[in-house]
Amino acid sequence: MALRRITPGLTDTTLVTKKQKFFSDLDLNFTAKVGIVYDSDGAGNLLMHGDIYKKSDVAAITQSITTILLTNTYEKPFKPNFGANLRSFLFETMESYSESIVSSMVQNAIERQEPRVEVQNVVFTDLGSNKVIPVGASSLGYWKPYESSADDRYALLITVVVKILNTQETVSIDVNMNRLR
Amino acid sequence: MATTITSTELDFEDIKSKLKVYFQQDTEFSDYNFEASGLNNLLDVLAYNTHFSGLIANFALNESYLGTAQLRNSVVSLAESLGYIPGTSNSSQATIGLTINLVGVPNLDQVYSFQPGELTLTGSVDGNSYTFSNRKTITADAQGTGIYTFYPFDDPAASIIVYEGEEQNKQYLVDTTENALYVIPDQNIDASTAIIKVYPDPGVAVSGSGAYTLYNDIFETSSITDQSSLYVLRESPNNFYELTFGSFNSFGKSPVAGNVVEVNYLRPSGSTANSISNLRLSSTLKMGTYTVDNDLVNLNTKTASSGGTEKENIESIRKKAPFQYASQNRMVTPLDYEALILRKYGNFITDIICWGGEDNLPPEYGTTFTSIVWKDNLSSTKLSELRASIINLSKELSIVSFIIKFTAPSETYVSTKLFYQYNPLLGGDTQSIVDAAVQNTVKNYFDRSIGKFAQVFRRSNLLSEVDDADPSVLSSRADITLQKRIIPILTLPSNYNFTFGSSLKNPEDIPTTVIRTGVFKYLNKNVYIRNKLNNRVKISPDGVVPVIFDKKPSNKLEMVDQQGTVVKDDMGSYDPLTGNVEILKLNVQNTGNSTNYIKIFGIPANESAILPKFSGILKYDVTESSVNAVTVTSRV
Repeated sequence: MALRRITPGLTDTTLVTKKQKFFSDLDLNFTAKVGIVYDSDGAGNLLMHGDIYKKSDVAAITQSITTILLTNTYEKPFKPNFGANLRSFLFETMESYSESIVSSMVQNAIERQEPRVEVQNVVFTDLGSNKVIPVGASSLGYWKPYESSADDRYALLITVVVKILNTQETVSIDVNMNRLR
Repeated sequence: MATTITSTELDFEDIKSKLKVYFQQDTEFSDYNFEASGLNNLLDVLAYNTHFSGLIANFALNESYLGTAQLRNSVVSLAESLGYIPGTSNSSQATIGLTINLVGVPNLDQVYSFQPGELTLTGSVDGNSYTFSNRKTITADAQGTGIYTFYPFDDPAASIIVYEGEEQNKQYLVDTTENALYVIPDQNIDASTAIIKVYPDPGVAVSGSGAYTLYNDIFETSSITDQSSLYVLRESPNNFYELTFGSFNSFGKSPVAGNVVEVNYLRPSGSTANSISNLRLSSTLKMGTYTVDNDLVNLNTKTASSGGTEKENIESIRKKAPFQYASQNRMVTPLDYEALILRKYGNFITDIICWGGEDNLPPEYGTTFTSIVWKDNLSSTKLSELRASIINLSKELSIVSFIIKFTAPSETYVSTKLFYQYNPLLGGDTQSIVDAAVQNTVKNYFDRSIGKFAQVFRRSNLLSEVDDADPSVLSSRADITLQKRIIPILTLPSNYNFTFGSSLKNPEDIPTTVIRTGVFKYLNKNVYIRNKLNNRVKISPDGVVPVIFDKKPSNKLEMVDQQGTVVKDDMGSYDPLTGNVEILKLNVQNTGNSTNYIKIFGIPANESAILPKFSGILKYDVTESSVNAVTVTSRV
């Protein structure tokens, strides 16, 4: 961002300030930017002009961690170990796995595949009952279905708290795992 | 921006790393190195796409050439473009005699025939039972005797041939499709047993009786007219077989709409049905309305079953197709003879070599020599038949006045006395383990490199492999000995002439013997034959006195006992240049061991390479070979 700064009594100088961006990535939503497009007779129209958004720094890392958590192993060609493999729990009962097992899966996956961050904490929330699953709970189905609302039953919110190593900034990233229908 | 992507790259990771290098030249995006980034995902897609495009191009090109194609349908298709039809499975064949004694049975005709498939026999080998049947009409004329002796209808002097396999019959209704293909949904057929009939309409086809047209294999015919009834039966891309007929009269007549094509063939068991000699009748024979009691049938197996093979494999097609293309169905060069004999009799042949008489020693112009290693289970009768057939084939296809002569393969054995430097500090294995590894390497080398015509032994190749056998092997050397074997006529003095096929060392080249036999029994003594080491020769010029003699090694042979005392002086000689050996009046009481042969060892003039000539084949004698470790502790 370029600023024109005039200091009283002195000549004006142009100072250039720029926030340093460590990370820059494509936005995987591939949403086109809005801009003015001029047609052949010179009239300008507000249309999508085609450029896509970028993600930088925290947003880039958030997108990266979300990708890791939502990718299954053997899903990515030539990278069989990539992903957190959370989808392998599909059709499993929530009572089959303890909080610590799933938490370590999430933590290991991020530490293995995202070297820019250090995992501080992983928290699971049962969205049906809107209650946090206690650390060390013997199953992710800690809260009974009847205690949850019908709409959000079986939905799980994974909150990953990470520290970005370059900036020492702590970020909380939510990944929502819920049923499709 | 310079392009850093190599268009010939195939490996996914390499392609992706090149894409990353490309991105490094731009500061717009920086996250390409992180596997979970969006940019990295995009690179994955790009690299994946490039990788598969490259692979597909690579596969497509490989499959386009006979030398590199891996898929059977590609190899078959490419071979067909050279005019080569890959061999199908072959039924094992046996010859039999069939006589039915119906003396005294009234109201019989004098002549009876059995159509193809009416005579079915069974036989067993290795606990498995196989069915054989006739594929040619056989007939018998009792001539009033009441005894019917059957023979092939077209050759009364020949034996009846029965073929192993499960009979299959398929019918196709011909429609108005042009250039119709009739697919036989079977991957295992013996095309040579196929009988193709075309019935005029489905009614006749269902009854199986009535008029039909018999079609013939186009590859068995010598002339084609517009009225020829010919078929082409060949392998299709899906490994089944497809039957086609002439189109637009190019190959003669074709069936017309409404006809029914009937394909009758055998599905053979291949080589597992060979060596069956206990064939017996499995069907009840009917001669007219008379049912023959099996006790009245005299069936004898003249030659055991042989010639059964599996479908020709890819490597065989790859090897034979170019040769057959070059031969153009005529026998001119030695390679033509090999290709065409193999095409017709390949299921009986393990290896073949041919050479022109002008190259022979001594030259014999107008003759082509052939030497064949036959498959193991062939009887002498069958071999005679095959040789006669090959002679007939050469009469049809070779240059007029040329004749073909058969020469037996001549086996020369190679044995090695191998020494290797073993440094226990360089490898983790004990000497006995390294010894075994070296022995295994030597055996594998010989198994792979010799044993067929024109295959050459090269000592340098052997030693290179030995040096690589184990990290603790520093270097190696080997002494090479050749060996011939003679089967002596016991207790009868006889002369023996043979050749090592390679030059041998001169007697004075080495302090030990060049020629030496194994120990055998002669007049109750254990003896062997060697070239003389102390032959008395005159060394002073003629006419000069005093006459001076000296003792020198010689190419003359002598018989000595195990203490080296001469038992018999004049036993013949050897020629170092040609490798020919002549042993005179050899009288062997017995061979001194459990075998019926005596080994004759010779030291080749050139131990570095042994090249068998003409019908020569090199083989490895492991019993006369040794591996010796020389332990060292230096690292060079």
